[in-house]
Parts: sequence; structure tokens; C-alpha cells
Amino acid sequence: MNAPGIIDHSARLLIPHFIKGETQISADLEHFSRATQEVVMTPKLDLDDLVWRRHEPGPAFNTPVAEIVDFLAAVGDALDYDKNIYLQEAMEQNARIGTLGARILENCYRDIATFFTRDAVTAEAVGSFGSLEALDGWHRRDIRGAQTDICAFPPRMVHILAGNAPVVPPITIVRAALSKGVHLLKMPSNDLFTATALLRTMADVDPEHPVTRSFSAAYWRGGDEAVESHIFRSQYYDKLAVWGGDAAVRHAMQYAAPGFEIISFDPKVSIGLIGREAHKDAATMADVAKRAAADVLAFNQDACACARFQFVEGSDEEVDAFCQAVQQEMGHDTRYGDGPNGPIPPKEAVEELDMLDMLAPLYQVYGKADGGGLVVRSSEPVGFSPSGKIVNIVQVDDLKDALPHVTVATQTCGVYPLKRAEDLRDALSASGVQRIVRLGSHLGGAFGGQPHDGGWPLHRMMHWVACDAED
Amino acid sequence: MTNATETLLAYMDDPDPFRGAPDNLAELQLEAVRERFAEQVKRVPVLARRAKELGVTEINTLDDLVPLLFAHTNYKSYPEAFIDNGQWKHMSMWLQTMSSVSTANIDIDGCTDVDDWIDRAKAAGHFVFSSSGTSGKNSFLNEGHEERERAKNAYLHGFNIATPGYQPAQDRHVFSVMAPKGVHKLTHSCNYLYDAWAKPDGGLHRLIEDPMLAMDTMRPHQLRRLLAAGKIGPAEMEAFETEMAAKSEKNAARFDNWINEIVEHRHEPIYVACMWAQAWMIVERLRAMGIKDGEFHPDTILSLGGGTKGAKIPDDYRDQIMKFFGVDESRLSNSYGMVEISGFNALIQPHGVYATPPWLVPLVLDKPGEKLLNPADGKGLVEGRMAFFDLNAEYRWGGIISGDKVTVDFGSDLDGIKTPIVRSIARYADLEEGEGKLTCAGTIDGYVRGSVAA
Repeated sequence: MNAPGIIDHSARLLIPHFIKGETQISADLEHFSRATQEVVMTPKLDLDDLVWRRHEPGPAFNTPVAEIVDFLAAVGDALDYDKNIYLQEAMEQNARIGTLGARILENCYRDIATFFTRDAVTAEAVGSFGSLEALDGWHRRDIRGAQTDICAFPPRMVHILAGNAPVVPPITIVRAALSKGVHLLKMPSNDLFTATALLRTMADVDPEHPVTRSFSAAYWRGGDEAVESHIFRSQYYDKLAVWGGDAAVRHAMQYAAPGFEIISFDPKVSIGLIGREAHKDAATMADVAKRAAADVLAFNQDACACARFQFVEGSDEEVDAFCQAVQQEMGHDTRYGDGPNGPIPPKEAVEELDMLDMLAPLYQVYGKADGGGLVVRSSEPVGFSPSGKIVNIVQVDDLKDALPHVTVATQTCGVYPLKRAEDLRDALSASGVQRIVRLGSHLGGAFGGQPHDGGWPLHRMMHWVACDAED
Repeated sequence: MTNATETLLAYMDDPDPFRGAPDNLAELQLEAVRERFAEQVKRVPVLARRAKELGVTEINTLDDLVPLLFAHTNYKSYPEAFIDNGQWKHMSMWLQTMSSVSTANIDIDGCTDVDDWIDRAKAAGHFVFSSSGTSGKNSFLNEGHEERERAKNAYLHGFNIATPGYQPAQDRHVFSVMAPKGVHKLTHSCNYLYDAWAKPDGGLHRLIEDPMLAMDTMRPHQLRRLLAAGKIGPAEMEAFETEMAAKSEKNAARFDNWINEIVEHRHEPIYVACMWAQAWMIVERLRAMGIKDGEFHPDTILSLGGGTKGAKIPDDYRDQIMKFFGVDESRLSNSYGMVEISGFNALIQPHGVYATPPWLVPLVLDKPGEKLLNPADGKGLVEGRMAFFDLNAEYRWGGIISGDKVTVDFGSDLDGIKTPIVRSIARYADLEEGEGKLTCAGTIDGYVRGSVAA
């Protein structure tokens, strides 16, 4: 149940901050953001409050990891949408400013507790370190005959979040909590509420918990030098993790310096590889088309894992029929994607598609720019980046023909049938792909325990220290 | 008996079509738009498609025209793979969709590159011109011989009316940055203009003698695509950078030479045609040579245009440049135009406004470009997005939407001007401040570094 009446939609958006465990709500500063097309209000920023001094250990530096796992699991239990007023508020406010509608947002928030389950949290640590215990204290090893103690020491980090899908805050918070370090989350203009909803829930579970006090989340205009140039320094932070678009990543790169490292979750595109097995019979084709559409649709195609190009083997007739089927499937709601009332593609893309459609049979467009989704078929990938529920289906003789179009910017690759992945995965990895999944699972995989963007982020977040030990 | 289109196109030969415009201009313009639509909807495939989708079969009011206007991006909607793979037949097919005449007569046999394709199009009667934008993708617009010739005088008059005290008499040294040949819309009319102003023997001093090629601006972007796709190696990139360095050295030498020629002739009445940013470069260079403000012949004319975005230039560049050359507003030729339209909206001095000529129908739209704001009674000041219908366009559809935010004064009757006047011009792209949305979805473009970076 939503909570009618908790939000005054006529008022200016008031954005809570969360500073070292304390929620701040106060309309001190005005910001105009293009994402909201309106003035939003935040508390005044105290730059000293946005950093932790190095000579003081972080609150959770010595908290045993088992206790952190227990705490995160308790936070997960408290993230019950029907009872959690912060999630309900985040849903209503983000529906007002974001591109995802209320239905998708509510589904996202209903599922957000899955990031905090004991299984997920444990798997994330074990995936990175081989064990949970690796996160507690010093571990003696015999390294080429010398006794050495190794410590995954807690980091001091800034995280620049992206707002296209409300999965970035829970992933960041879980990893950050496991690291035991201190963490400042810079909220994006198109999601001003998810991070603080999670952190306020944390504070409700235990306001004095060391993990609660290890977090801050605030909003300032991205790139504001008056804030960033003073706090993005090695004197306060070891690393900056940036999620996001080209501009955000490039901007963050400017602050890289000795002692201040950038961990970049770069902007990415994702693709599908669909073998001729898809056309075996009508039922198979319908199922494969449904999976293909699901990979495009999630988060209304505004996430890096969304498919934008799908390479399909088959004859002209088979590929045409498949394109039509995918376009039809894109018209049905999925848990995280809008079917009939999806995003309208950018005007430029529509104009380009209109043009391509006139170059038939070289190109063919299926569907209309009405939110129901568009498929454009071609023999070479189109020159623009499909977005707003557009997928480019590229007809190929062999899935290997897709390889020249795979680059370091290619994140997820959905394959049908999955057994074809065995032959392709070395070549895909060599070209840059970071994740190979079953077609239809681009956004379906559960969080926890897998590498991400070509690395183990939690492992990379830690400040690894070696100390000689007495024999 | 001439129709409305012919009546209005006849003004392209009039040295002052702004004061000479007919009293029933608005009526004639609507009639001419109706005529053009009736012809072109049968011929231009993209227009036919859009009209069909919208159910538009005829134009009754200018409002009907709004959804049928093209954006400049329409003219660069070709797949770049056609260029990269040398699929010239496909390029001709693409051009066909935007053209009112068949492009099947373009001989693409043995065509080597995009400039060769343009030459072959010209040989077949399609005077294709190209324009580069910030996106790195050139536009290509088709133009017929007749419309191109008609526009020559319109450009000439458009330039000259801005300097009412001076008319061309083949008695000056003209300094220009425009290439003598090439793909730019204005090369043809500028040659005509310079012929009119420059002393016949040795009076024209060009900064550039090489033709302006479409590939000059397209090559870095093509290399970026090929690099991103792993189709070229570091050696080819190095060769490109070396070639660019050599070219830039050669250009620097030419620029020195050109500067010396300006110095040499500065006490004669000269005519300098360039962009504002280039004019600033001239000022800086001449100052470094010890030349002081106003050390020029008092009849010096500057014909300046273009934006200054990205140029290292002081805020008061305009004042400084005028002071340096010793010119006042009456000797500062300027105009408001765009490559998609024929002729200029001419600068009317001393008012500093731009008058629309009779063959350009000014359409002021709301910011999204969906609603016509032109005053119903033909009188008054409106602000919005500038669009035009160019009645001269024959080989393509004349309706075009710009990226400019303007104020247009209808029925002002200023100084005898009978056409609507544009009082202020700004680019929406420069006006909109704010922050972008953050999303993790991206493309390989951002991963390419160096001289060919986006």
C-alpha cells in the first residue's frame, strides 16, 4: 500500500541528506536540475562534515564481518516496502523526477531487500576474497619462505552514483558496508531518494551501529568544484568509485592523483547473440523473442545491461518474423519494463529510423515511436546508439560475424542457445565483453558473488597492507 | 501568368527585396507554400511519407506546415557505414529519399570517396553541398542548377545591403578565408561576391587555395569509428597525425603570408571576409607586429560571421576588432542565414536587425518546434524557435527548423522594410545550462582518446 498524503506534490522537492548516521532535512539550498526541471532544496553542506579525518579510525574499522552480515540482513528485513515509509517516499518522489514510472519503481523497491539477504551479502564477500574471514584483521601467510601478515584494510571512499536504475545504491551500500570503511555517496540528480531511503532504514534498525555511522549521502550539482575540489583529496579519501555516463566518469578522472584512485564503472552497451536454433519451431521462436525483448525492456532501456543490438542468424524470412515477434513482445509489461506505455525514443533517433525505413530492403523498421517499442533490422549495426525502447536486430550468417562489433564498451552479452556461448566466450572476452548470460537474463541475475565490469569491485575497494611477521 | 512562387522568386534579383516586397506578401507566401507542397509531396519521399502519416493533403494555413518541417539532422541521417564501406549506390539511394528528383543518374562506377561521390552527383546535375556540425557527421543537401544560380544574386545583395554606403566596383583588395572550390554551400556565391568587389588582377587574396573537401571534417570521425571497431592500427593513426601536423604547418605559413598581404594593403580600401574568431587572430597577429588601432583605410569593410564557441577570445572581442580596423557598424557586413536556406536575412543598418527576404517564409515556433507562434493578424513581436520555408528550394523540401531562439517583429514597417524582421538571435544550445542525467549506459565513443576523440 502506498502512503497517500505523506508527500505534498505541490511543494518543492526537499532532499534529505544523511551525514555520518544522522538524517538532515532542511531547505537551505536551492538547486535547479535538468532531470527534475524544477528547483529542489537540500540542507546546507558543511564540507568538514563530508570527510572523515585520517587520524581517526572509521567507526566500523574493527567491527567483525559476521556482525556486519547480521546487520545488513536485519536492514534487509526492514526493507519491506509495505511497511517502510522511506521506500514509499522514495517511490513517490522518484516517480515525480525520474524516467521510470511508479509501477517499475515500486517493483524495484519491493525487490530491493534481495541485495541485503545473508546469502547475497556473504556471496559478494566470498566471491571477492574466498572467505568472509579474510575481511577480519591480519592473516598470516608463508610467502616464499617469509612469514607475512596481510590485511584487507578498510578504505575511505567517495561514490558517485548513477540514477538510471535504483540498483546502484543498494549494490554500493552492501559493498561499502562489507569493506568496513567510511563512505560518502554523492547522489545523482535523477535519483535523489534511494540512497537515503536505504541509509535511513539502516539508522532505524540501529542508529548507533558502526556501519550506520560510516555512511554519508548528499546531493550537490555534479562537477561543482566548490565542493568536489576540496573533498576529493587523498588527505580524506583513498578511492573514488564512479558509476555513470561519459561526462561523470571523465570529470572524476580529473581528480586522480597519487594516493587517490578512481574505480570506474564505465558507460556500457549490451548485446544479444541469437543462433539459428531460435527458428526451430513457432513455440521456440516465441520464447526466444520474449527473452530478447526482456533484455531490451528492463529499466526502459536506460541501463548499461540493456540490449541495444541483437545479432541474429537466419534467412531473411526467419529474421523478419523474429523482428516482428520481438516488437510484439516489447509491447508487454515486464517487472522492470513498460510494455504499452514505455519511453518515447529521442526525436533524432525517430527521424533516423524514418529515413532507414525508406531504404528498404537494406533496413526495415517494425513498430511505431509510441512507447510500444521499435525494432530496426539491418545487415550492419546502425550508427546511433539505440535508446528509448529501440533494438537494432542485425542479421548475420554466423554469430562470429558479430565479433568485430564487440568492444571494450560491451558489457553484457545474452546468448541463445546458451551452449553456443562455449564456442564464443574466449573471442567475446578477448574483444572486451565482461558478462555472458542466457538470453533474457541481462537484468535477471541475482546480486552477489560475481565479477562486475571486468573486476572484483569489493576486492579493489580494499586497502591491501602487508606486514612482515616474526617466524 | 505567373504563380505566387515565381512572383516571389523574382525578388531574388532585387537589390532591396525588403523594401520592395509586395503589400500582400503574407498572402502570396501562403499561396506559394501551397504550390510548393503540392509539387514536392509527390516527389520528395520523406515528405510524402510524413504527410501521409499525418494525413496532410494540402496546406491551408502555415500551421499545417509545422509538422512537415525538416530538422538539419534529417540531412545527415545516412548510415555512416555507407561512407566507411564505400557503398555509394546506397548513398545515392539515401539522397533520393530527401530529393525531389531521381538520383539514379549519379554514376558511381569506380567512385573512390565521398568527395568523389559529390563530384559525380554534380556531374549528374545534383549540386550536393555539405556542412559539418559539432556531431562530426556532415549533412548533404541536394540543390539544382537553376535554384543555385537564382540564389547567387540573392547572396550578393544580402551581403551588400549591410554596407549601404558602399557598393561593389571591382576596386578593392579582398581578403577571404573561403576556399575557391568545394562542398560548402557558399563557395559558389562567395566567388561571385568576390568577383564583384575585388580588383580583377590580383585583388583577391585567399587564405586557402585547396578545395574544401567533405572528408576534411569527416576523416577524424571516420578514424574514430574505425579505431573503435579495431579496423585500424596505431601506424595509421600516427600517419594521420603526421599528415595533420604537416598540413597545419603549411596553413600556418599561408596564414603568415596572408597577414603580410593585409599589412601591405591596409592603407587601401580593403574588404576582409572571415569568421569572428579568425578576425581576432588577425588582430592579435597585427598587434604583435606593432600595428595600432585604426591604422587602416577609412573605407575598410569587414564581412564577419560565425560563432566564437570554443575560441580563445576576450568578451569584448567585437568592440576590439571594430576599433582595430577602425570600422563602424555601417562598414560591418553581417547577415543571418543557414546553409539550408537560400540567400540571407540581411542586416539592416543602422538598426542592427535582420530582414527576411520575400522568398523565405519566417515561422516562429514554440521551443519544442510543434506550435506556430506567428501573430494571426500579421503584426507584433514573437519569441521562439526559428524555422523557415525556403521557396527557392527545388531539389529538396524547403521547410527547415533551426536551433536558434529568435525574436521576430512582424509588420514593424521599420525604415520602409515591408518584410518581417529578426531582432535577436541566440542558439538554444548555448542558452541551456544545467546538469546531465547520470546513466551507466554508454557507447564506445567515450573510449577513444587522442586527436580523433569526440
